[in-house]
Amino acid sequence: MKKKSLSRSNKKYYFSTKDLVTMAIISSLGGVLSTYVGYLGNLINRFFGVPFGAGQFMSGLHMFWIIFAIGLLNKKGAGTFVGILKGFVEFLSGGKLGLFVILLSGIQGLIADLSFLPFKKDSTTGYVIAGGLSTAANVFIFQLFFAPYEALPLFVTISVIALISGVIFAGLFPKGVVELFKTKPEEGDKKINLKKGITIGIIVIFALGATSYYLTMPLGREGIDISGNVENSYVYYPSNFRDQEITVNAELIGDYTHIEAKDYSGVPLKYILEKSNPIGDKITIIAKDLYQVNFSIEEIYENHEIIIKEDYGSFNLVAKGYEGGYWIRDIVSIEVD
Amino acid sequence: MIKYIEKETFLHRVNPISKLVVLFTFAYSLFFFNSWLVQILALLLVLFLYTISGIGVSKIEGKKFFIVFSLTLFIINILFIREGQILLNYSIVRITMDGIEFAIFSVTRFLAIVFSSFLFVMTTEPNKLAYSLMQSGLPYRYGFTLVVALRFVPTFQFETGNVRNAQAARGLSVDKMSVKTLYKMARYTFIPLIRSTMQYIDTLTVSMEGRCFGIYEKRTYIEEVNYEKKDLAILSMSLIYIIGFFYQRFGQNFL
Amino acid sequence: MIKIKDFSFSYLGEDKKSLDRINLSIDKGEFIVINGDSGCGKSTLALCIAGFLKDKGQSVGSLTVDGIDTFSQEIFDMSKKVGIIQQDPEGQICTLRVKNEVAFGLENLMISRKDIYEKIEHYSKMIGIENLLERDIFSLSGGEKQKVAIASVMAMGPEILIFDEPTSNLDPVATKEIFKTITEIKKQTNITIIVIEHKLGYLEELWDRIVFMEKGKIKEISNTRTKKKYFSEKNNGNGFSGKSLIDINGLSYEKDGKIILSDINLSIKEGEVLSIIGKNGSGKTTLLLHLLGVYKPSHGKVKIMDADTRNKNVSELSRKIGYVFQNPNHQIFEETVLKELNFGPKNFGISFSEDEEILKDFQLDGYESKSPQNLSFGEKRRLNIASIKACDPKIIILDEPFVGQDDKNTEIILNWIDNETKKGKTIIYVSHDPRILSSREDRILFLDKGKIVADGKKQEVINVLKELSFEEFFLDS
Repeated sequence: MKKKSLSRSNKKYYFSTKDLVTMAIISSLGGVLSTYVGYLGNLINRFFGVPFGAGQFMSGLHMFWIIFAIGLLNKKGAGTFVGILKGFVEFLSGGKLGLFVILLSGIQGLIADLSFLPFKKDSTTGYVIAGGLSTAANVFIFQLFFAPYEALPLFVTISVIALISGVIFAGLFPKGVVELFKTKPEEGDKKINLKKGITIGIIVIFALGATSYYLTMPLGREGIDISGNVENSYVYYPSNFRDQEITVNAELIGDYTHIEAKDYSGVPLKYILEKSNPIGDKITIIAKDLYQVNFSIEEIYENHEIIIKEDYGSFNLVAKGYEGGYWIRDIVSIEVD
Repeated sequence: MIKYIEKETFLHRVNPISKLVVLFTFAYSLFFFNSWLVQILALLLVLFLYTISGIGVSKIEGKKFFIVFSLTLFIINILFIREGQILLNYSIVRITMDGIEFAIFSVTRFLAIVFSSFLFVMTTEPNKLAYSLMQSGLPYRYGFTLVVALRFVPTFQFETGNVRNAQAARGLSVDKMSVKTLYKMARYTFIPLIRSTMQYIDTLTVSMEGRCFGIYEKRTYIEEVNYEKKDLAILSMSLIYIIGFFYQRFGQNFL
Repeated sequence: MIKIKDFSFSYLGEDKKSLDRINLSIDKGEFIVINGDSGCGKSTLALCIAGFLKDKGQSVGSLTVDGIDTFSQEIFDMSKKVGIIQQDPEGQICTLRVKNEVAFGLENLMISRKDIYEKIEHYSKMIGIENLLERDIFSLSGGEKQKVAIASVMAMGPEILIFDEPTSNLDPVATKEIFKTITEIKKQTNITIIVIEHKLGYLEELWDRIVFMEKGKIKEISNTRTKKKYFSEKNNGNGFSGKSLIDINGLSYEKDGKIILSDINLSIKEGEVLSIIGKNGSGKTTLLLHLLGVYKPSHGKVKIMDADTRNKNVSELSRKIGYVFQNPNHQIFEETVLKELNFGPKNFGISFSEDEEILKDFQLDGYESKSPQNLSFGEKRRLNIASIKACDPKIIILDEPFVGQDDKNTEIILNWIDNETKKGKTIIYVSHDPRILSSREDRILFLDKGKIVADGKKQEVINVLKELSFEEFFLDS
């Protein structure tokens, strides 16, 4: 072995060995106790007589470890690190969410890290906001991937429960515990002001409640924005056009995909456009992934068989007679030029 | 508890990294299929793998949880999706074809991901996974946090039992259920465990630094993780699959 | 080799000097024992020699190893010279498998695979773990873990080896094994060995010099082998009278198809002191948890004050039986000493006002508003017992109360036990410390593989154990 050629790493590591060991041990303990937190959650579910949901009262305890690590180490990135590592521990010890938990807790850790950024290290507000936000995020992420809370009122209720749980169990609780275990020399007794903490908590809950309500509005009702050079910009909702639905039989011929002729039901794009009284003569249809295609108003008006079909809240264009590239998916807006 | 089961099967022999990549690819791609039929096929494929890997479907634990969770998810979706062909319309309850399709869709997707994860866990030695990750480029100082975390899992499981016994011995119990009791339970469980954890952190830091952990940027390993032909084949297949996917999804915008 | 001159050290943020003007020089190949009560600075001295306290505090004077100031060195440079084995076997192992653990340091040094395997073979043979190499860490006993830790440090090839109370968490059989290992290392190598230990008996044949420390200072350095007298001998006149509080009849307990306890018959009376001994894993804790109702018998009956444990839950039984568990940290729940004392009474809903008296008994008076976090290990231990005493149970069980305790703490606890029995309480304690058993006249119960092997007065039990060659549980008298 050519030992002399080895470069001794002189640079100071960002995370010292002690930091790494601390994060590893906290993740391990957090992973092990996630079963216990689940057990407490089940007790609540049973108490309220529901199969799941009320357990969100305890969901802040899953985030406790991430916030605790951030508070103890006071280094950026500690939250994400512990989030991912704790996810790995839960995944490998057979957690009920499988692989998904790594993603979930990693994102939660990142959110916690980011929420802490604007605050001083000992700021109670920082703990409360990071704890509340990152805990509530679990409901959002879950909804995004598995859509268990399909109804808006249910979704909002669960999110608020998670938020409250986060403020208490992932905000105030770790703040107190960090103070208990900080090995740094004591600087007088800086007790957390519980009243102040709760006041901040309530304000945060209201603020976030309002924002999340606004943000999740489209969740229950998806629509397409119709705007640009029109007299009347509006949002298209299929429920307002139910009686204008037609069925067309079309065949898709793409470069790589081919789908035999079959029936599609939807609302002709013509009617949708007409309602906005377009002034321009060209339209651009834009998808969620920013893919876009252009048509002239004229061709749309002449062709009744270009329809917009709704699939589980997303909108797809069935462009009969056009090649595959025009059959655009996940439409979010239509702009008129 | 779901954990590694020692056996000699094809799935056991596949390199942990290749297996992890396949698992990720599989789970990831499920989110791009909007057809409930594909999700059911995926779930069946996973269950089929259980059978041929010699693990057996019976090893899946927590059946009660999955049944309750799936049913709830199913019912909520059926009740709240009101579009599509109507199958039943009785006062406020309206069951539609779309609702049923979407319900099957989200339940099977969830189960396919979780059960495939379980299969991974049962056929992969955690130690080997961690060492493979490090030999495949994960900086070893970070990789060892996974080793250390796994190392302490049995320790903390044991200690959690101790703490709960000690609580019972001093009269703390969940007999009277209230939010306050739950808060107390959490507090009186977390704090004693953290207290003993602090000692481990100090001891382990001395023990690892005392054995030159972090002295060089790289280190050697006594066991080399091998990539065989089949592992490379699996890796390249996953890669092609993912690229094909992206092309389909974003290149042409249709599926 | 090691030269310490007028050396003092205090930790960051502390005024107290943890080490106060230490003068000591140790030659190559010497075998040194350091003895003293907890908090006397012996572990701090070890960490200073190994170079771990560089940024952790203020040092005055000089401490050199091979002429190099340990405080000026990178920890990595020091750790190639000085290896340290710590008290807690659980905490110092970082990998999942024995082989990986022994290889850990060598891999960090980027030694080639072939050389590592040679070293593993050599050192695992010397330490006696060659048959454990493929095992998972979590399947090892405490003694085996400690041996793995020793092998992992030895593999680094240090010139100085420091053992910081290596056996304080171990049972007598494992303790003996570890000291055998240390003897073997001394025989086969020329490594300088420093052992910090209060169980001197085993080391008397080995040391070249013994250093007694007190309050950060060296009190005495000697090379004589005087038999130290241990705890004050007491004959507490255990008449085994009074009415029976605990009755166990034909108790067997199985878990996952394994028999953990079999055919236990035992009765314990009011005012009695019972000492339970046995190796780790012999079923002691399982037996005691049956009394608390955490486990219910698979066969047979356990009755506590005439109540069958199968019909009672833990919270009911814990009113009668106070149980002090092994790890002090796992049973401290509150933020101040006084609150901690009130924790049990509050949960049970009983009034409690004897806090002053109890704190005094355990020499914790004046600590009322102190955070348990800031107590020493010994003080935490006393607080555990005090908090159980606060619930005023009739029977008190102490699981390994003396582990990690210095002589002073042990003495306080033993005195308290004797006072309690005079008041008619029953005390059951588990202990591994042969010095305690040898200096007392308690009734002794010896468990092995889930069975009662001996039960009776000290001399009777000693005779049985000698026949079965378990003599390490006692000191030769």
